[in-house]
Amino acid sequence: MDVVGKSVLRGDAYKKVVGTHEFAIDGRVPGMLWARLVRAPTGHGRIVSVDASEALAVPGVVSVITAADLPKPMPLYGSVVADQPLLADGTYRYHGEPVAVVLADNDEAALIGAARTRIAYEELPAVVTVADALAHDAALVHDTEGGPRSNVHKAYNYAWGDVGSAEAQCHKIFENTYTFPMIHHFALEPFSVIAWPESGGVQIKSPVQHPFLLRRVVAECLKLELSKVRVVATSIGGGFGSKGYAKYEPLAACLALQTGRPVKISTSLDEAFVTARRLSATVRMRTGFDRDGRILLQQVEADYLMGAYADAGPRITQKAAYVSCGPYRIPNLRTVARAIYSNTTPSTAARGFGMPPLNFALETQMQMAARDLGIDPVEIRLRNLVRKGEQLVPGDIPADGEWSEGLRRAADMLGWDEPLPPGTGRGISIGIKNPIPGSVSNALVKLHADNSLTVAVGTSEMGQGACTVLAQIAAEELGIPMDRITMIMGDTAAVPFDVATAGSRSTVTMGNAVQSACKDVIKQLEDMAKELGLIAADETVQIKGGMVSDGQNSLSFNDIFTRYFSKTQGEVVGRGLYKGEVVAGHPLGGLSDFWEVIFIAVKARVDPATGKVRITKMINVSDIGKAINPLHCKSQEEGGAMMGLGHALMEQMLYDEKGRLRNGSPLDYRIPTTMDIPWEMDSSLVENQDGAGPFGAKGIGESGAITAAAAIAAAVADATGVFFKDLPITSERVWAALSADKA
Amino acid sequence: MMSDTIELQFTLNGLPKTIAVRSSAMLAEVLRDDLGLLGTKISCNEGECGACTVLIDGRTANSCIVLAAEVDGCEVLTIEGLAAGGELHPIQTAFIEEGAVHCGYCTPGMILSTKALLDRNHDPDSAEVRKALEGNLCRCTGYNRILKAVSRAAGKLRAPSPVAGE
Amino acid sequence: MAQFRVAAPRALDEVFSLLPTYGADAALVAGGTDVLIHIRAGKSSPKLLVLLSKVRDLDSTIQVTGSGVLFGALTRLSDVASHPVIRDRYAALADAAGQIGSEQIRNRGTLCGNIGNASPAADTMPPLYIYDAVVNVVGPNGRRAVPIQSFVTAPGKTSLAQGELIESIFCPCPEDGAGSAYIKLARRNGIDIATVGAAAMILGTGKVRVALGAVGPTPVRALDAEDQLGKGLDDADAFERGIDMVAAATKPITDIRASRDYRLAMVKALTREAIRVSLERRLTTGRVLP
Repeated sequence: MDVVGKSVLRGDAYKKVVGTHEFAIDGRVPGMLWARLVRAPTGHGRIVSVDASEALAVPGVVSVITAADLPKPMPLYGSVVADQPLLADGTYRYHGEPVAVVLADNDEAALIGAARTRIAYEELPAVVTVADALAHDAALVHDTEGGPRSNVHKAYNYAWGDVGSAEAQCHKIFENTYTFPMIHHFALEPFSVIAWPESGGVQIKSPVQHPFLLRRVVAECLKLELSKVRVVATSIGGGFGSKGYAKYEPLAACLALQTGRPVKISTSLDEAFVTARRLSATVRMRTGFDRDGRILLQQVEADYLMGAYADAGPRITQKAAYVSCGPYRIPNLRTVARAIYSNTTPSTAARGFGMPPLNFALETQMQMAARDLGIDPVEIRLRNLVRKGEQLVPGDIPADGEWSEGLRRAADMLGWDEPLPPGTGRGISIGIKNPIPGSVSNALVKLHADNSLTVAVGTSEMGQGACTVLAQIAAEELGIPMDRITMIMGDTAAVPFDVATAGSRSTVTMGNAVQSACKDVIKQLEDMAKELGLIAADETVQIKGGMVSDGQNSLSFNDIFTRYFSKTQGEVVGRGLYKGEVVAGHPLGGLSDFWEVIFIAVKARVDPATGKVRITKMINVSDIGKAINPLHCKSQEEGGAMMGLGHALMEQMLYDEKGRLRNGSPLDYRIPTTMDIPWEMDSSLVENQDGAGPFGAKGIGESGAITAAAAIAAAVADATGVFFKDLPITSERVWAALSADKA
Repeated sequence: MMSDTIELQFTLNGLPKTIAVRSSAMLAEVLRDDLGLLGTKISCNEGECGACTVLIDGRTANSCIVLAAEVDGCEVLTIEGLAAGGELHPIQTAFIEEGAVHCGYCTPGMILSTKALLDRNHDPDSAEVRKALEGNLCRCTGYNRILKAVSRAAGKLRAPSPVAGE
Repeated sequence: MAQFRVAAPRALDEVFSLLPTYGADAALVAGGTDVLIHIRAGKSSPKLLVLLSKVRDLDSTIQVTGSGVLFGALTRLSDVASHPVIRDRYAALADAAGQIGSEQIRNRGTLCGNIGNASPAADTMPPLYIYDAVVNVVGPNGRRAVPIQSFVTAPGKTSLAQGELIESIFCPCPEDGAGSAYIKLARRNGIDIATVGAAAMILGTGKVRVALGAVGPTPVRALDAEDQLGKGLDDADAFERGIDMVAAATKPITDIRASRDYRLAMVKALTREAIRVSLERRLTTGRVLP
C-alpha cells in the first residue's frame, strides 16, 4: 500500500502552526449581536425576578432576554430526552444554568451587561451526590406535576448465566465500592456559536462533533424541518465529548430567529465547567474467582450521577454497563446501572463514554485478586481474557483480536519482570469499549476533470486527524496523491448524513463509507470505459494505482474521464454508505462494529512522606487491526492516556452543599502539565488486520482515557500495599492511607 | 498621561506599529480585535493555559493578562511573525513532522514558548523542555509528541549552517 | 470586566500625585500577573491601574554588593530564578522564584509584586523570611525600611500606607558556608499555587532558620523551633521535637487544595526536606545548582 499505513502528515497542520486556522470563536458575521449569559448562583432555586435595568443602561446593550421573552411553553431540547430549557424558566437546577442572555453590539458591552444583570432568587435544597439524590426525602431535580417522584431517571439491567448458583463454587469473592469523580473535559477552545436566519430557517456555525444530531435537536426544539436547519461544524479546538451534543446552539438559533439578526454566544473557559462534564459514578462490584484466578461471577451496581439535565447521560449509563464484563470471560453476570439526576453541571459524553468508572473498578478487582491469590497480574488477566472469536457479551460480535498479544507486549515494553527500586510499583490494565452500535455513515466522493478529488463527509475534525485519515483511505483506493484531495467536512447542507464523530468510530464507519464511495467511482469509471469500448467488456478488469487495465489496454482514470465527458465538464460522483448491524430488541439497538482495546502498563514511584505519586514509565499498546496512520494512532492513545492520568491523580469537580461549584476554573481545576506526565512514555500498535474498518482497521481515540487510571492505581497499590477505591488518588489521599496504615 | 485611549508604538513581528487603543485593553484583545491577528488564541483568559503566549522582547508572556500599554516600545512576536517570508520556521516544521499538532488550539502558544526556549538554550534536556512548557496546557496530545517536536526542532536549529557563528 | 483606566507614569512623583485621587480604588501594576487575574476573577475592581513599568526611577536589576543583594521594584521572577549569585547564595529564593506560575508568569511577575500581593501562599515569602530581607518602601513623604516579617500583616494586606510602594528588597548576605532550600508541594508539578511551602537555611555555625508558606494568614517564621532544630542536627530525637515545634507555630486551614491535617503533616515533611537539602548544599563545595 502506498498511503495507508504511512504516517502521512496532517493536512490541517500547516494552518495550525502559522496561526491562520479559524475556529468558531474567531468568527464574525456582519450585523452580528454578541450574546453573553447570566447564570444561576446556586445549585437549585426559584427565580424571583431578573433586574436588567443596569444592564440596559450599558452603552451597546440591545436587550436582556429571559424566559419570559422566549416562546411559550419554553422550548426544551435534548438528544435522549428533551428536558433542557433554552433559559431557566421559573426554576433553575444547577449552578451556572443560563437564566438570562444579554444581547449587545459588541462583546464587551454584553459582558458588562451580563455582570450587571441581577437575579433575585429563592434557594431550594440541592442534591449534589449520589447519596443526596437517593435519600428518601431527597429534593427532586425535576419536580414536575405528574412526573416521577424519584431522581432516578432510568435503570438498565444486564444478566447472563446464574450468579446465585455460581456463588458456591467461588474460592474468593471480592466486594468493593468505588467512586469516580466529576471530571471536566477541559477543551482549550471555549464554547462559541454563531447562528443566523437563512432561507426560512437557520444556519448554525459551531464547533460541534455531531452536526446532524445537532440539526435534529434544533429542529425538534424549534419545530423546524430538518432541511431548514443548516449546521456547519467548524474545526474543533478540543472536544472529547463535550462538544458532541447540543449546548448553546438551540438558544442561539432561537435568538437569531427571534431577532432576525446573527447572534454569537461566547463563553469563557470558566463557563465550560458549568456547561459539560463527565458522569461521576459510584460502583459496587462483587467479583468471584476460583482458586486459579478464573472469574466465576460478577455483580455490579453502578450509580451514574448525571447533572441537572439528561443530555447523553442515560445512553452513557446504558451503554457502559453493557460492557461491564470488561475484556474477560465472565460466565455469570448481573449488572444494574442507574442514571440519576442531580443539581450539578449537565453531564455528557466524555472520552470513554461511561467506561472509565467501571474499568477502574473491575481492573482494581483483578489487581486485588492477583495479589490475594498469589498470581501475577499479567497472568491472571491472561487466564480470563477471551480469545479471538470467543463470545464476550452474549449476542454481540465475538472478540475480534488476539488480545493476549497486546497485553504481553505492554508488559514486555515496561520491563515487567525487572526488579523495582524501593517505593516503586508496577501496574497493568486493559481498557475496552464498543463504538456506536448500528450506526450510519454516508460519504460522497467526487472525481473531477483534472483528476483531483473532493471527499464530503459529516465527520468533524477535532484534532483526531479524521481529515487526514479519511483522505488517506481515498488516496489509497483511487491512487490519487494526498495533495490533490480536498476534504469537505461537517456542513449538513453540503455533506451526506453521518450520525456522530464519537465512540472512536470514524475511521471504521466513515472510513468504510469513504472506501465504498471510492469503489463506486471506480465501478462507474469501469462502466464508462466499457461503454466507450476502451477495455474489453468481458475481461476481468484490473484496477491499480489509478489505472484500469484489461491485460491489453491500460488507461488512467483521467483518460477515461476526459474521453467520456471532456476536459471541461463532468464529474464522477461516488456514494458510499456504511450501516452497522441493527438488531431488533437489542438493548443498544445493534451490534458492535469492533472492540476498542488498549493495554496500559505503568511504573509509579510514591513518596511516603508527602504521598506524591510520580509516573516514571508508561506504555500504551492498542489492538488497532490496521493503523491507517500509525503516528496518529499512537498520539491518540497517548493523549487519551494523559487525560486518564489526570483522572487518576488530580482531576475532580468539587461542589459545596448548596450545589455551588467551588473549582470551576482553570486556576483551581487541575489537569496534567508537561511536568506531570510520565518521565518515559512509549506506545505500540498490534496490527493483525482483523478489524471491521478499511484495510482491517479498528477505531482508537478513547481507549487511553478508559484505563490509564486503573493502571496507575494498580501501580500505586503495588508500591504502597494500599488499594485506592476513590479517584483521584491525590497526594493527600495517599498520605492519609499510609498514615492510617502506620497507626 | 492618563486617558481612555493610549497610543502605542512598538515593533510587531519585525515591523514598526503605531496604534491607538483603549488604555484598559489587554494585548491579546489588541492583537485579535484591533489588528486581526487571530493566531493568538484566547482560552482561559487568566494566565493559566498559555494559549495566548506571545514573545515580548524575546520572552514569553500570556498576552491575555498583559495590558497593551505595557508593550509600548517593545518588540512583540506573534505566531504570524514566525514563518518569515512564508517559509516555515524549523520549530513549525518539527511540530508537523512529529505529530505534535492535534486540535491546534494550543499550538501557536506552544510553538512560541519553544522558540523562547531554543533561543536561549540550543540543546535543552527533557527536564528543561518540560519546565519551559509547563505554562502551555494541551489536552489532546498528552505532550509526548510535543516534547519530541521540541527536541527535533532543537536538532534542526543546531544543524551546521553555511553561515558561521549563529 | 475591564472597567478601569490605566496610567503609565514616567516618574515616581507622577505616581505619588496620581494615587491620592483614587485612594483605595487605585492598584499598582508591576508585572500585573496577580492584579489582572484578580480583576478577571472579580476579586477586585480597581478604578485606576498605575503601571510601574515605565517609571524611570524604578529599577529592574539585581544589584550584588558586599553586604547583600538588592532587587529593584521591577525585577522579574525569572531573572531572580536564573541569576547565578541568587542560585548560589540565596538558593531557597531561586528555588521559590523558579516555581511560581509558569515561565510566562515569571517573565512578567516581579519579586516585589509577589510580596506586595501578600498572598499567604506567595512562594518567595518564606525564603525572604529566612534571609531576614528588608523591604524598602517609598512614598510621597520619603523612604522607610520595613523588616520582611512585619511587612505582610494579613492575607492581601501589607504595612504599606496608602500612596506608598515597594522600591526594592534587600537581602543581607548569608554568612559563608550557609545552605538554603525551598520545597514546594502543590496539587500538580507544573504551574500551581503552593499547598504548603517550606524554606530552610543552615548557617555555617550550625544555626537553623525555617519559614513556612500557605499554612497561616501570613508566612510563618518558626523562630521558637529554630534553636531546637539547630540542636537537633546531631540528635534525631531533638530534631523531631524541633519539627513538632515548627508545626505548632503554624495555623493551617482546610480549603479546596488540602485539609488542615494534611497541611500540618506536610509542614513537618517539607521542613525536614528543606533542611536536608540545605545541609547538602552547605556541605557541597562547588554547589550543584537545583
